[in-house]
Amino acid sequence: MRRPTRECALVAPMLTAREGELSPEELALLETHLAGCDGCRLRALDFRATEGIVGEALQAAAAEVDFSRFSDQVMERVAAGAVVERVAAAPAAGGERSVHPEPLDFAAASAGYARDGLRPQAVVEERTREEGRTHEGAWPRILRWARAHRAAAVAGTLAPTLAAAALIVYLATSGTAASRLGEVEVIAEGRVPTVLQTSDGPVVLLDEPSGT
Amino acid sequence: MQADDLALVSRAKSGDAEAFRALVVRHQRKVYAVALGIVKDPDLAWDVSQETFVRVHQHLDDFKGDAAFSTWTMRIAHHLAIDVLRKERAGTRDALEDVREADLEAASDGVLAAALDANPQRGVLRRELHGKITEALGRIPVAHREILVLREVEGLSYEELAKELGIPKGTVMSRLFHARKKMQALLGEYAERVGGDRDREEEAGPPARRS
Repeated sequence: MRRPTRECALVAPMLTAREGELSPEELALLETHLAGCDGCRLRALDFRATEGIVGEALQAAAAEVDFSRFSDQVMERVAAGAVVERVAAAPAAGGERSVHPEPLDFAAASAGYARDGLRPQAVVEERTREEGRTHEGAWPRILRWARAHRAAAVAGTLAPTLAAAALIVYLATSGTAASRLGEVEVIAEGRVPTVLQTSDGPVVLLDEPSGT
Repeated sequence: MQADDLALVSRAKSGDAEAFRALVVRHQRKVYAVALGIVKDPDLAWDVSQETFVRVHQHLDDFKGDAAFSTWTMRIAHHLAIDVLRKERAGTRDALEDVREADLEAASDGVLAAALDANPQRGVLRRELHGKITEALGRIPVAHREILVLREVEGLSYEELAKELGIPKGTVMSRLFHARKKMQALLGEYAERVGGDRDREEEAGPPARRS
């Protein structure tokens, strides 16, 4: 068998074509070449014999996998995602369930939010009481904030339904504007926190999203 | 099938969770096959497949029915799988896409065809090769796995591959050539050995061989 030529290299990629994918010129060149080249004819046979075999192998591998839990898992994740989306879209209404770094701001303080940057490893203990709320273990900075925003705290006291939604506390980072999100543990009476990792960062749900 | 998909999509868009679940069940294995072909690792392929359907659900309203639902879903799976391997891909992409004379010099030419076409038990051999193929896929560059999966699981044409991968048709052809050639080289030795054994067994038995 002769050594591959420049023309062999030119027509070789055409061996991967399916019917109708080559131009008439390419097809003519390929046929003429194959008629006179044993090496390319053998290569053509190999390509024809193995056409689709990778697809077959992967589908066969997939057929052996147990998918009995697959759709349940997808539906659970979809349901959890839907809760996060609803909360992100309406933070004031969903405040009782969520801590989200982005959509919240001080405007929500009247509904019980306190916000600033979050400090890594911060532990927030938040307890909701009928007469209001206290924050234990918070930084002096938070206390300063509370003093400076006494009106918001009073508003919370006067509006128990709003205060009941006040489970979100953002802790202050040191002086810079950059907000870093680290690990935040939220302890809330009667609620089980769930941390979801989303593309926007961790989201803490204080209720189980699907009631499990 | 396609009409059924569209009906299910329509119901899923209006909040019918069971319709969405039906779509998941219908396409889960093919999505997994695409993911597995690219990322190789079964657990990672499972995660990519899960994420694919979460994204599909998130963007269901964006699906207008211009392409088949399966094509749209496979495209999402493909992109997620590639995202997972982006670093590896950057490191292993072939600098040269051209096919040169030296690329054609391989001792196994014709061996696979002989083993698969001429062997009376080629169906058995083909199935045996499946296990070797998933193993061999892990030994070729990501760009080659990617194009093979898109071609053979999703069934994309040259034109669709060019569009999906953002490369010219000529590059599609040469990359596909390199990908399939590498797979053949990896499988050739196995096929030659198994095929040869089978031939000898056939010769020793009743005259069942084809002329």
